[in-house]
Amino acid sequence: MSERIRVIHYINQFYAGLGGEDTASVGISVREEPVGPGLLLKGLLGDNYEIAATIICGDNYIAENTEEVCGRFLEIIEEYKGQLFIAGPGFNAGRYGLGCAAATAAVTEKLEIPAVTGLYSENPGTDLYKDRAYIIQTENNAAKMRKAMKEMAAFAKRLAEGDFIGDGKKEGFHGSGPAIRIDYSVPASVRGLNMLLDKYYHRSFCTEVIMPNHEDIPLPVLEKPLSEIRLAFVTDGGLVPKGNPDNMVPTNSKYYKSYSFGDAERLEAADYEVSHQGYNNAFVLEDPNRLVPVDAAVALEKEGKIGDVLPSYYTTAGVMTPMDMGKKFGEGIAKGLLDNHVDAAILTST
Amino acid sequence: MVKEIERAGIPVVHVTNLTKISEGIGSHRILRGNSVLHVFGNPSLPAEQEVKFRKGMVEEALEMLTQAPKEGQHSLVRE
Repeated sequence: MSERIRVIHYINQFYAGLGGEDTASVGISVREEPVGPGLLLKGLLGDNYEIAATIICGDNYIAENTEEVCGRFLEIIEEYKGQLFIAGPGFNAGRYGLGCAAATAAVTEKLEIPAVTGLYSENPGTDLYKDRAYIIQTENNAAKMRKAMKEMAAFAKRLAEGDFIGDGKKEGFHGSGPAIRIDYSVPASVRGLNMLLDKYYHRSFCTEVIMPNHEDIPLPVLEKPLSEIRLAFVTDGGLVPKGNPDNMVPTNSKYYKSYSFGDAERLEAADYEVSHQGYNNAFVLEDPNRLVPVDAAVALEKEGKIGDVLPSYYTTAGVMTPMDMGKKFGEGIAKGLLDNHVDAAILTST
Repeated sequence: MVKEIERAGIPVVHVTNLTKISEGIGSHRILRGNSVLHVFGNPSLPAEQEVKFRKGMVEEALEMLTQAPKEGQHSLVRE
């Protein structure tokens, strides 16, 4: 039988039994045995694994000196010839979660050994590191330690054994997992075919494209009847006033704008142009209401089917615009809509 | 953008031809536009009828605002 795989486990002062907030500033210490939740981990990993060292670090200390502490972790892991790194789980603990995620990312990227942690989706560490490390999705409550550790241990074993790891949604980790190093000396066509073959033969492969993690937003519902709502229009189709007064770019937008159409009953072609290089604008130029249907909405307002229409619309060009930018625009627009007491929006995308 | 507006509690109908993408990012209410090139337009119709057509589409979008996705589904999609 081969030698056991050497596991390094990181926990905080609380789980090490050193105390709570009073000892959160304590520095790094190492014990050559499983400690606290490490005992559970040891049992779950089974006989082919041994916890060679437990790294203990105070939450304040790692949160305030993240880079330095992670550097020290790497040295310790090398010193103990670690072959697998497991952090936490940190559930929804902010500083601990940050520590777990940062350390797991550092080990993944610098030591290139299997590494995994487990955090709740809203832990600040999750958002920061979910595309640089395997962060198993856990509940927000440490009472679920057994369940979380069981999932982490099972995943860690598969990582250590080189098993096929699918995407985060299927495997239950946040985001895209570790970023991969792309060998640009191999042409994209070859890399693509290799990836396809790996997928076909059910071998491990990683996408080179980081997939955005789409979180679920609760379903918003109207709080009043349609006949009382204020409706607003938003578009990523690049409709701007004639002359494009704010020099809105036609691609890779950095901002959005809001333009008033006052008490106009329809958008007149003579007053507008399109700054968007991602579609043939001819039909919209001919009649801007085809993109921002002010004429129809004003008619419905007159008929009493809706309360009123916000007399300005929000616009940007959604071409090659990164998801993060869209998110930023959305936040700003949402604020503008709330300030203007808007109840509902129609958003058109070309 | 749809999701951040929804996060603020404002219901949105996303009108687009790329309904799969919209569904993929997690929009809750999606209405297929008439074309990528004219979401709320129908240039094949005479002007007057096109306005009627557009009004019908806006009414459909408004109706969706009052509805929720089916049990167990994330998005309400009208193709």
